Amino acid sequence: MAETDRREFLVNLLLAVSVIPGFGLAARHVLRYLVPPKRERTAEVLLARLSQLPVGTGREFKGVMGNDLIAARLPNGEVKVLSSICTHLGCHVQWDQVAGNFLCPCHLGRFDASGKVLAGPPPAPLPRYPVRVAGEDVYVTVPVKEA
Amino acid sequence: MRTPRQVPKWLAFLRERVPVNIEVFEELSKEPIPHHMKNWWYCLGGTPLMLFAIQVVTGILLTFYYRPSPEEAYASVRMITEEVPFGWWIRSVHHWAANLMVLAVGLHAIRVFFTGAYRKPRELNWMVGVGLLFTTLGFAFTGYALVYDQLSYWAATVGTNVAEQFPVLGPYLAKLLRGGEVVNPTTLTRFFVFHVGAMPTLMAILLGLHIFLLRIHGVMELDAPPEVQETPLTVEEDREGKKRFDPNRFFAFFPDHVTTELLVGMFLLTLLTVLAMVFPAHLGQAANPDQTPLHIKPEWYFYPVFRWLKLVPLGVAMAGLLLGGLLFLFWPFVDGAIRRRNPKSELGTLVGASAAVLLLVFLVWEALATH
Repeated sequence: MAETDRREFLVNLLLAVSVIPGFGLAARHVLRYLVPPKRERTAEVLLARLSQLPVGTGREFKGVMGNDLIAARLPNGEVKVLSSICTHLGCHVQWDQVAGNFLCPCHLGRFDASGKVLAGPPPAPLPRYPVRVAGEDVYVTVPVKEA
Repeated sequence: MRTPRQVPKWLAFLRERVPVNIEVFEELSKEPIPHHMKNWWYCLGGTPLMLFAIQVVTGILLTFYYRPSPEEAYASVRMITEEVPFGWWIRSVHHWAANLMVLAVGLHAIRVFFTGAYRKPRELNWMVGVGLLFTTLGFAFTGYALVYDQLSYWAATVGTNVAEQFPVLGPYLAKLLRGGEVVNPTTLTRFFVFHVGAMPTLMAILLGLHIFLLRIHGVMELDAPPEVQETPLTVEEDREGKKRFDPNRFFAFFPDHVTTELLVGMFLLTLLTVLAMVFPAHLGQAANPDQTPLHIKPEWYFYPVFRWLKLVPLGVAMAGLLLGGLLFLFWPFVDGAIRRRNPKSELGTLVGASAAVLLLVFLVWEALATH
């Protein structure tokens, strides 16, 4: 192999091993840049006062930071807050005071107080949100959804 | 040699539909390049072109997230910088490539000036080049304003007020830039449109013209006698003479010069990424039209003009800028007139050196000044 050929080969090799991975890495960064970040901002908001939510009852709250919620106060006094949108086809669930669980009137899906599917077609549980009770006030932490 | 039968099907398909002679492109790619171009200092013409390409790519990427309204601009820039994956990198590379582009265009102009590469028959290409320099500065000015933090907002205010003082055309120019008598919500939209629509179009046209003129003139041979300079080597003459060019004086554009430019491109990309990592693009407080910050300064490339404006009364300053700009634009003809009277005159070099020193002094002075 002639001296110049060897030199040319080494230069080309050096260029290839630096340029190709370099551009590959840059392309990867650019592709990642093009996927918008998920906004996972949450906020704690005052949802209700305990007096508005007697033991054993449930109540829907619409448009809380862009979320439709349903709150239920269980017989033991605990407050649960879940999404009120049925995971089946998007109807609003109601609190069934007699059965002590949530009912979707559209296709009779049923969810227990923690959102788990008990019966019917819903494919997934209702999303649940953290609740904090301070004195008389019920606070819930929900994702902030842009209008 | 391959017979037509051996041509792959896809190539035959393409040749039937795009009936151009590949050999013509091969000929064109072998543009003779004078030997002095192997020196890195002479690659400054290709450098801004590569930086412009980087600006186009990163600029398009930034517009995926940027929202050009006074309410949302700052928040969208903050989101690009802090939330979008690698957004800080894209924005910082765009920021640094803009700075390097101004620097490279400036150095290219200085090199062309002191080597006399603007002389007959290349005067018009010098003027196109001056247009490219001003367009680059216009890009930098409008781009800086889009960030919409305090400094960028007030730079737009001061900048458009300066433009307003320009003799005759000033008030119209300011109104065109701002979309009103003062900086208002329309201004940002206008700056955005100039930055991503009008100026790139102008740049593409001027660049096309610049390269076209360069190709038909050929690159100036640095040490050639004036009679050779004035009758540049063209590809056509060369092809008819069958002999491509004298290898002692020239080398081929492709692959030799292309390889050099590729190396410059790689160096630039590395430099830009290092700069982006070590000095990421800054984002200050959100724009507040009710409160001018205490120490406002433009970007470094406007320092000489900013210092000049502080030194002399506004009317004189603007007249000086106008005269200086016109002298710069028409310099090849002024120089031609000087050299017709006295072919050995060094007046041009003296004028250029004085202007360069003055610009440098004003730049450093403004950089060091606190007020």
